[in-house]
Amino acid sequence: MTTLSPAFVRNPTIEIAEISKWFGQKVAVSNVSCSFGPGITGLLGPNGAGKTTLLRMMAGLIRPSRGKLTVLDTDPRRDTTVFQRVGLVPEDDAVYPFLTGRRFVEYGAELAGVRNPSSAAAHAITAVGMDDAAGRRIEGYSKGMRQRIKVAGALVNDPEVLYLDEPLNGADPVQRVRLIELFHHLAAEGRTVVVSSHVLEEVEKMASRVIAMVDGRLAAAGDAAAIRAAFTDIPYRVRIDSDVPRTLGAALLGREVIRSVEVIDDTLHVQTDDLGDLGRLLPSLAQSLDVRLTLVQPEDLSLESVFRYLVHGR
Amino acid sequence: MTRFLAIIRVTLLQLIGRRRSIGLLLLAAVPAVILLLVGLNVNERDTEEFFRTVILWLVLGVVVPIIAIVLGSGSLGDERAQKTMSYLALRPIRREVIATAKLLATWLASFLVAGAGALLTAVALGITIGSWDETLAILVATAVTTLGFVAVTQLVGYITERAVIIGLAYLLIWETIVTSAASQVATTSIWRMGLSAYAGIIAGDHWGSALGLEARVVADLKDLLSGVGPGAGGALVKVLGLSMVSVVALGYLMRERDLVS
Repeated sequence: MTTLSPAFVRNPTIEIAEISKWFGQKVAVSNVSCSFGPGITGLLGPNGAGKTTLLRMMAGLIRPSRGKLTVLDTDPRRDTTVFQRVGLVPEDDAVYPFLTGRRFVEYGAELAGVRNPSSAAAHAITAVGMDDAAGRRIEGYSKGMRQRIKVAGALVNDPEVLYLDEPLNGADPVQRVRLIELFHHLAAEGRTVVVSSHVLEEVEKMASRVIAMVDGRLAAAGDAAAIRAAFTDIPYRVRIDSDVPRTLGAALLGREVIRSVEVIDDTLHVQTDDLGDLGRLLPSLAQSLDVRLTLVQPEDLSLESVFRYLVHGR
Repeated sequence: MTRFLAIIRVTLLQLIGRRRSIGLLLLAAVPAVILLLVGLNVNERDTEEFFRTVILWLVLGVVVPIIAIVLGSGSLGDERAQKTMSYLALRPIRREVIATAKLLATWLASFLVAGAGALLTAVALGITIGSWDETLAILVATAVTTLGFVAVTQLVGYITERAVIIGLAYLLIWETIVTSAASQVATTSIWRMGLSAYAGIIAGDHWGSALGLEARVVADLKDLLSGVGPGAGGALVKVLGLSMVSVVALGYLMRERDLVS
């Protein structure tokens, strides 16, 4: 079996080849190639990284300036039938304030050609927990309610591919948990869910795979740990809690696997190029020194650390 | 068909918002009020002449175009401004179908408002001169004029956020000044298409004659028409042609240009 670049997946539903988008002189997305498949993929990047532009191109809202993009083997700009199988929750407040929530979702179902719009709308409204407020006009909704009714509008045609642009904006903590559960459920059913967000914690909770963008380019792809491992020139930072941090730190100094040792507030922090070697060294060293280890934890495997390296290089 | 009707229903609700409707309805009633004020103070013949030389221009050349420009600009312009374009366009619907449904809904909304004003004007005319013969002609002319302006401004409204200003500038410069001064280009004037339909219904058969009531009608209208011949059929063909061009152009733009900026 051939090895696949982490930017690509087997059996993709969305394929992007050397895609670029520029607005006048400004390049928003530059020569990005990647693919998406069933499950949740996070589209990550700071503001202005080009993730919304990429998402909009995938959704068929804007045209690539160069490159090729297919969704379910179809060019969304050429063949509108693909929209029967696609849903989008845009970042914008894209609702009709004069409609009730129920009518808004029904309208989406009617536009999508769903066989029984009322029933499909009721199902989608229940899925986002908006049954009680569905009869009210959207103009009276809170930000979080608008967000959820937008999600219902995107789900009403039972899409195989779902694009979510900052989907948790305005949602309260309880709603966030519920929506994340819903997205996981949709992914578990085999749908392709692409979530664009600049909130790392949200992406970390939702997506196992991440496509990271910086300055319009694809900066990294894979899970957080895999992306972190690609930064071979930046050592890992590991926190080690023990009863005698200074003794252990002194013993670690000079070892080939250790780059630096630091004790801050009675906690030992070391930098290493190889987590595996450190993991093998520590137990034997602790045993020989009669040191009790209470915690060994890499400090920069989180998406936040990865993001910091991607954006700031440190 | 469900999709087509769904777009029409939502577009009607979108365009006929409470505040906008009240403002446009008040504007639509202005010619009727003026006609009534003048008609109650002069004789029937003068009222009739005032109606044909001033009020008809005010209705078809000013009020109806303004209503159609405002609503036509909002047809797809509101979708862009309210960011709902993605909800409408990312659906399995041909772009031309969206454009046609939008055009039909916007024409209906414009005609509901402008037609109400036109009907009031016909009523004012009936009260002042005691004749109701012109009601149908006024309504047909209003329908023709609104369709022509809606077709153009819906397209402009999709392209730019400044469609209302552009539309009003076009109305003043081209429709009012240029086509009045140069009869060679008067056939391109949209409001004269409506007036031509009116003239066709009222005096079409007597256009060439110089006898009787129709001859007076012809004399009153000739200046306004600025060389355009009367005829409801011809006017209808022209505005339907404009509508088709608008739909095809919108379909092309929605396919080839970005749907959001």
